[in-house]
Amino acid sequence: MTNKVSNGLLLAQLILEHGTALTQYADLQRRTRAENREPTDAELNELGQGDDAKRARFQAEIDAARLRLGS
Amino acid sequence: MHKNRAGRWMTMPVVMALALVAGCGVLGVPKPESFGDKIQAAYHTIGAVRDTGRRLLQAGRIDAEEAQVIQDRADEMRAGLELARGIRKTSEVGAESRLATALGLAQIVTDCMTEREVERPTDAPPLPSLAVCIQQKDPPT
Repeated sequence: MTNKVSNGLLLAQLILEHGTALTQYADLQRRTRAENREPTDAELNELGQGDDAKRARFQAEIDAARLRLGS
Repeated sequence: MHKNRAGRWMTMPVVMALALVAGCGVLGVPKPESFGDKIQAAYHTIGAVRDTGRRLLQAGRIDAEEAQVIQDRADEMRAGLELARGIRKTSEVGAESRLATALGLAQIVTDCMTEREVERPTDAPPLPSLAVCIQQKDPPT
């Protein structure tokens, strides 16, 4: 039961995160297409900031896992 | 023997992101055509690699050191992507090459992550470390 709940929560988290990320990406793609232009540096930098946030979140999990192991 | 109950849903986002970059329409999202499109898709892919690594760590499929390998490789991809953006104006061919290298690494890391997503039977031989897996698929030149 614990594994099912855990997997279910992870799946829900995945759907929410991926759906949000895909929507943001798709919105930017459609906007640049509709306006017949390349994405601006500012728009690309915003995507970079999104990756920076994901990097930070991942690193926090790695560091926490290391602490739990005492390494 | 364990039954595989987890399936491969953890790596699905990054597999879809790579399909997007390859020019396959995914869930109605426009296919990347211009260099700008490809750069956008590449940012999405690198983020998906990090998210997938985080989920594998949370699910106990990989340990902290393997997760750090994924993070470090994602940093390499990101550095390649930023370099591609930087040299685009002076060398389109160079920029495309850098981008292709970054995405090639994303595919290799994704393949190695996918191998670890599925629960393995207890009597199955252990997989090589994730670092070894990546090195085997992408040996240094």
